[in-house]
Formats: sequence, C-alpha cells, structure tokens
Amino acid sequence: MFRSLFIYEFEKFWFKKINIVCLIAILIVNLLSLKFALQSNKTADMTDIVFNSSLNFHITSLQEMLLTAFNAIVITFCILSFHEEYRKGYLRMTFMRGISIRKLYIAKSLVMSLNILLTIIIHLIISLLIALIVLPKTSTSPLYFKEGLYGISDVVFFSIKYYFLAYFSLLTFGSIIEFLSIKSRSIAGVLGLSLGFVFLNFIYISYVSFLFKNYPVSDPLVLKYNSLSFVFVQAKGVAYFASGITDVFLYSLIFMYLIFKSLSYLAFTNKNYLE
Amino acid sequence: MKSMIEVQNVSKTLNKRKVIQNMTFNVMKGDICGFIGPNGAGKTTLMKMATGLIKPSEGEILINGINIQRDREKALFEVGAIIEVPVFFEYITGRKNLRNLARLNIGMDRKEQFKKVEEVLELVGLKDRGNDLVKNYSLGMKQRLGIAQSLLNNPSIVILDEPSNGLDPIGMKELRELILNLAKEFDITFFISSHLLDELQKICNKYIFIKEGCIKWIGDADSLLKDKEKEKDLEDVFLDFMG
Repeated sequence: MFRSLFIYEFEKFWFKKINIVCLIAILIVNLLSLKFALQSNKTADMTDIVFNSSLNFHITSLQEMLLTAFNAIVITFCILSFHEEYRKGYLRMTFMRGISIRKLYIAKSLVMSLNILLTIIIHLIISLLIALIVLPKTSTSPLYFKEGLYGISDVVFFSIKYYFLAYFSLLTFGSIIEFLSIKSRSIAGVLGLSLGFVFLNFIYISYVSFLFKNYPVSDPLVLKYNSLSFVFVQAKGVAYFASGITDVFLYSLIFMYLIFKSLSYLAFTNKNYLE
Repeated sequence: MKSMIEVQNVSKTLNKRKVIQNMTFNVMKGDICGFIGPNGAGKTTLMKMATGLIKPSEGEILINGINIQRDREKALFEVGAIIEVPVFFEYITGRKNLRNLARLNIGMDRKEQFKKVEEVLELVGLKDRGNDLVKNYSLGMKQRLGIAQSLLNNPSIVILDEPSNGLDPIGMKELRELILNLAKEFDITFFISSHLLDELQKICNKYIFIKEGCIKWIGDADSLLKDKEKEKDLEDVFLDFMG
C-alpha cells in the first residue's frame, strides 16, 4: 500500500508544470552563476577562494544560489504540494479513501525529499559539465575556511559534506515552509510568513554579531549562537561543516527539522480536515 | 435489510456553535436517500463526518457497520464521495486524473486499475472525452468525472453533496439516469444532498429533512405523501417543514 501511495504522490508532484519549470530553472541558475564566475575570475588570483575553476564551480555556484534560488524552489514545491493540495481541497479526494493519512504524509514527505535531492543532483551535474566546458581546468583548488590549495580527493570529500548539509538545510527549510503551508489560509500568507521567517533570521544574525562584537567570527560560541539561524547555516554554516571546523550546524538543522516536521505531521493528520 | 450508514446521536460544534444537534438516522442498503435542508442546515458538515473529513463532537457514525472514528481506513474502504465540489488537476486529462487516483485502489494491480478507469469512464459517458484536458470540460462533464472518481474503488455507498450544482437540465437528467442505473445495476446505496428538490423527488426512495442541525422528518417517499397528502411536490413539503 505504501508503494502505491508513494507512486501516487510522485506522479501528482510531476503533474504540476511549475515543478517542471523549477527543474529547468536550475540550468538558468547555473548559467547566472557562470556569468558571476567569469566576472570574478577576471580580477581573482587562482589561489583565491572566489576564483572559479573546473574543480570548485559546483561548490561556489551552490554557495551563491542556496539561499536564493534553491530556497525559492523549495517554497514553490511546498506551496504546490502542501498548501495547494491541502487548502484547495485536492487532498479531500484522497482523505475520503480508505487509506492511512499517516502513511500519506510519510509518502508526501518522501516524495518531497526525493525531488529536492533530484534538484541538487541536477545542479551538481550541470555545474560540473559547465565548469568542464567553460572554466579553467586546474588540479588544485582553494576551499572555504581552509588554508592552501587542495587536490581532487580533498575537493571530493569537501563536496560530499557540503552537498549533504546543503541538501539537509533545504529539507529543514522545506519542513518549515510545509508547516506554514498547511496552516496558512492563502498562498500570500505562506509567502509572507516565509519571507518574514527569513527576515527574522537576518535580524537574529545582526543581533548575535552585535552581542559578540568582541569575539572572532569563527569563535565556537559565536558559531553556536549563529547555528540557530537557518540563514546563517545556509550562508556560512554549510562551508564551516564541510571544512571540518564544527558540526554544530548539523545538530541545529536536525533540531529544527525534527521540530517542524513534527508540527507539520500533527497539522496534516489533524482529524478535522479544513474544519 | 442491512444498515449502510448509521448516524447515532451525532452532534458537531464549530466555533462554539452547535451545527449538528443529536442527529440519529440510518440509510439502508439499496436506498437512494435524499438529504434535504436549507443553506447552513448542516448537510455538508454531516457528510464530511460521514466521510471521515471531520470528527463528530459527540456520537458515532458507522459505515457498513464499522465505526469511522475507530477504524477510518476500513470504514471508508467501500465509500465513494464528492463533498462540496469535485477537485481535479485541470491541466491533465480526465483519464490521467482517474489513473492517478486509481493507484489508491488497494489490492488491484495496475492492469486492473486501468480496466477500472475505462469502466467508470464508460459508466459516466466520458470514454470518448477521457483524453481531453479537464480544463476543457464543461461543468456537467466535471461533475460526471467527479462521480467517476467516486466510483473508482468499487463503492457500495456513494455520498454526493449537491451533485447537480451548476448542471443544465440535460446534465441533470444524465446525472439522474446515472444514479438510478448505478443503484439498479450495482446495488449501490446513495446518500445525496441537494437543493434541487424536483431532482431528488425523481430518484429518492427515502428523505431526511433537516433544519438548523436538527432532523425535522425522516421517512420513505410513500409515507411522505401519506403524511402530507395535500401536497403535490417535494418543494411544498420542504417549505412546510421549514416554515
């Protein structure tokens, strides 16, 4: 039964043309990144972190687009899969069938996670291809928050950790938007609350930097406080984690993910659908 | 005769207002039961409770003898329904909409699901238009597609909330014939709410009149005529009850 539910949800997800547009948009996102990369390469030295090469473009492009384009894609996915279906009544047809709502939620969540993974993988493939074709080929590359130049094996290890946490940060952001999508009465409400959440994160980061203005930016205490800001995690925390400086960003994401996923689950499986 | 829908002392409070008050009735196997009441009487709320979308504040609802609150999945296994308006993905075909929903037909392999889709498309007269995008369907066609959705899981009970809303006279006639045919051929029990009393009079063998969340009258069509001998049609009876 669960398999049928999963396929049912997966099929529904790709029925929505906007989701397909989101996937196509990744190519455009990569081309935009390439434009920035070529511009910064004009002034940067090969040892600079901002220098883009065949070895590091997949990391720098994700770094640039994680907080903007990828979050926008996640918001779109969540609005269509949760808000639209839950609030506009598409799910009524499913809820009236003799199936488990709990399993339906799990299937929906798995489909969402899988499709976010798909966008990340597509991004990785496109960025690697673009870098190989257009950008200078190098055998070593600088990495975020690490001194010196690194060879391919170090870059691969860094990339795996970077992509893993970037993906998990999108899942966590998705769990927050999912909850807002179920609870909000309108798309404008979901968008407003989502942007409000991001804005609050920026205020929090400013407050933390003001509070710890005498501390170095990479002080463990400062990083610990900043790890509670989802925006900071995406902007810098992912790179801190990949460079091996701290795991606090992973723990904070797990914490946020569990809280919002539980809230979404309770809202979704509420026994009074759209009362 | 077997009771298909048993509503036992059901009440529902929404926003501190009791919209359903201690309602008790049965719909028996083979009935085409009309659920009649003015706007805001609580028809949709009761139907939502009978399809597991919301839970009663008090009382119990048994579908085919199974308590919907205690065993929702089992109780709804043989229920098909349209509550408020049927909902589809407008930019895919009617057939694809049904094929997607048919995935929830537990125990059927994909081949059987496809067969079932064709069967219900045929039943509702949409076989030739199955490959059209739903956005190009007329209101009547959408209503028929909604009924097709509700028939996908071989239901023994079909609950329809205002199924003739927005239909033209031809659409209403087709819908009426479809319901009568399904009840006769497949022994499906229907529980239908509608404002169109003439339509209900032509198909129902039993009526439940409600007002402000309370039952005003229950009985079969014959006893309604006996009770209200002077009245000529359901509309007069309705006005009399609601008066």
